[in-house]
Amino acid sequence: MKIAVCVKTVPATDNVTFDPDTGSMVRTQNNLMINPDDTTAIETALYCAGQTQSEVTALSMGPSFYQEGLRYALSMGADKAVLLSSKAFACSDVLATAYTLGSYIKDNDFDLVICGNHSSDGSTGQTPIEMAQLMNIRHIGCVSNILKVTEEYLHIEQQFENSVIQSTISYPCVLVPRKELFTPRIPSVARTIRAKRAQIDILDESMFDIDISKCGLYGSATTVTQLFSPEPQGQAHMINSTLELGRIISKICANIEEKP
Amino acid sequence: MNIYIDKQLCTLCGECTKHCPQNCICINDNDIDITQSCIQCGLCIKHCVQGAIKKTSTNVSHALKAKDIYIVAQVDNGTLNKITFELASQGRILADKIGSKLCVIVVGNNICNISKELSLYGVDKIICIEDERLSIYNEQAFSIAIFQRLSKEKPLVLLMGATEIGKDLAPRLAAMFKTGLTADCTHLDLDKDKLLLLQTRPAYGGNIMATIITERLPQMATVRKGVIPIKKVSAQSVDIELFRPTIPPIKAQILSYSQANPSNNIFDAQIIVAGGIGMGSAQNFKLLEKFANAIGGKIGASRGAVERGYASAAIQIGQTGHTVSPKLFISCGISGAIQHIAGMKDSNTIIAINTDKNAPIMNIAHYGYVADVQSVLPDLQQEIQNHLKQR
Repeated sequence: MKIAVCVKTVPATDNVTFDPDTGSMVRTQNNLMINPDDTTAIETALYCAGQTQSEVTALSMGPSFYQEGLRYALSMGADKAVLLSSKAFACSDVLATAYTLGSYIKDNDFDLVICGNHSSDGSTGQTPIEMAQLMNIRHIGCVSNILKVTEEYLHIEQQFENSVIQSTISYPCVLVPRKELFTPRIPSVARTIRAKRAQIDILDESMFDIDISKCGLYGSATTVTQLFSPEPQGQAHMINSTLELGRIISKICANIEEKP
Repeated sequence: MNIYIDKQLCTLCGECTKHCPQNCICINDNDIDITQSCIQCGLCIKHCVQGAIKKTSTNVSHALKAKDIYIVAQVDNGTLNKITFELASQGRILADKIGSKLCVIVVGNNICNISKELSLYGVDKIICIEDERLSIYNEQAFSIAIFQRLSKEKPLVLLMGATEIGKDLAPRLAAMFKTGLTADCTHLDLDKDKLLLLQTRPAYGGNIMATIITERLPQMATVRKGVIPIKKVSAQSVDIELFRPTIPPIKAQILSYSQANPSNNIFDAQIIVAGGIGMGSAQNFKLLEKFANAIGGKIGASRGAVERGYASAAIQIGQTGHTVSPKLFISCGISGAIQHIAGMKDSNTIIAINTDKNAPIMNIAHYGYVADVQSVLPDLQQEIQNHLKQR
């Protein structure tokens, strides 16, 4: 069985500040990192691969030097890494990204594709699902439990806000695990060093079956027309005692009870 | 989809890279490129010394191509989810602006009865899509059913809730229509002349707002829960249509279905008490949970607290966890990283207890209390109990 795990390399933006004049992000460092949710996807892929003796390919899209996510996937235990990189893919929105990744996956006959819940930068959570639709295969979102993995099917549990569904699904399909499905392993130092030196296959549009009119700028359906800072909220009203805090909380709770 | 670099003019000075909020302009080996994470904000154009970065002018107009506003209802365990009424209220405003109809799509099995309630929320038409196989959510069956009905008359706008099910279904539909989809919108408006839907959403964890347009039809967006006030109208006669889709066999077998355990459910909680690293231990989290229960609330946690093993990832609030907007949010020992704030800042009232009065959480909280939450909690609980007894 062939398993692919999609990963994204994102800016490491834990301490972001914005220039109030230009509204742009002030960067003190240009560090790149793997999108945090993708580590759960990799762990899920490794689990499924372990159950079925399969190979795991980590797949990403971006400029040729956006390799951080793939290297991390290799350090966690992925067997291969593939980066789709071309000028034709630049400036893709969700639709164009989903089409590009999906084209490679379809061309290479992957049975199971696993993706992180959403990215820390774009944060839409839409790409894996659109990718599944464009490949005309099923996706299983919000996966909260994997009960069984075989060469023929998966037995999984999905947990949505108000419902829990258990079902079986055959391949090919796309899985999107909930963050809490697995705790991702921490790669060993030896594996990390090996991953740093590992080969990453960089592919452009000539190396798999894809229609570039559906990629990049021209394949995208959305445009950002404006960026602006949200209205600043003032400083909090400071409370001076636990007594006062208790009074305020009680009052608000009572109001909620009366007027739900 | 329209920013490009004129490489004849570009000097590779790198000024644009300093201003790109997405860090997506890359200079490498004497070449410059805009990567796919570009959000077309145009800040690079403003800062390019050479005028080498350009935008192809978009002159998109959806006028004359489509007219009506559609929303998709969410049915949970036989009742309409509250987000449905929020979407209807938003849809009504948009429809009134351009004098068009508001249609709501309800998908399920035997849902015609419950959908009648929507006549109180200003909808003009209810389309009930019914089939036995739509009684339990299945992304393929639901998307095929809705697409079948809508491909006849492309909607101008199609809105869905940014709930877990809404965000699972909307991308499939968007890909079927080969159109754009904006996630988690907090504000929507319509350009009257071009009939462009202006979709505003928080980006980078809410530090900046982005307004996005879709150049294709339908213009699709998911709308965040709790940001649109529900507006009831007097009951009016509503056109109800029953549509029976043709759903092909689906390669899946549903083995069981159950309602989620509501005790774990923080989505619909009116009161949330959330703890962060400042809670200090998993044991203290238990105390916090007791406190939450005592005031009729549910417990949540920051990423820091989850990573330290104080709380389960199932209750994590923030960009990589759940987005919540309760009536009251009590934040305990959470400094307020932007990723966390993104998941709770739309709460009605936010009370923050933190030892640091300069913590970012204090900038978005309505009430702040500078204290060590661990030592305050017992007294606070006592104090609230006294108040409750008095009532």
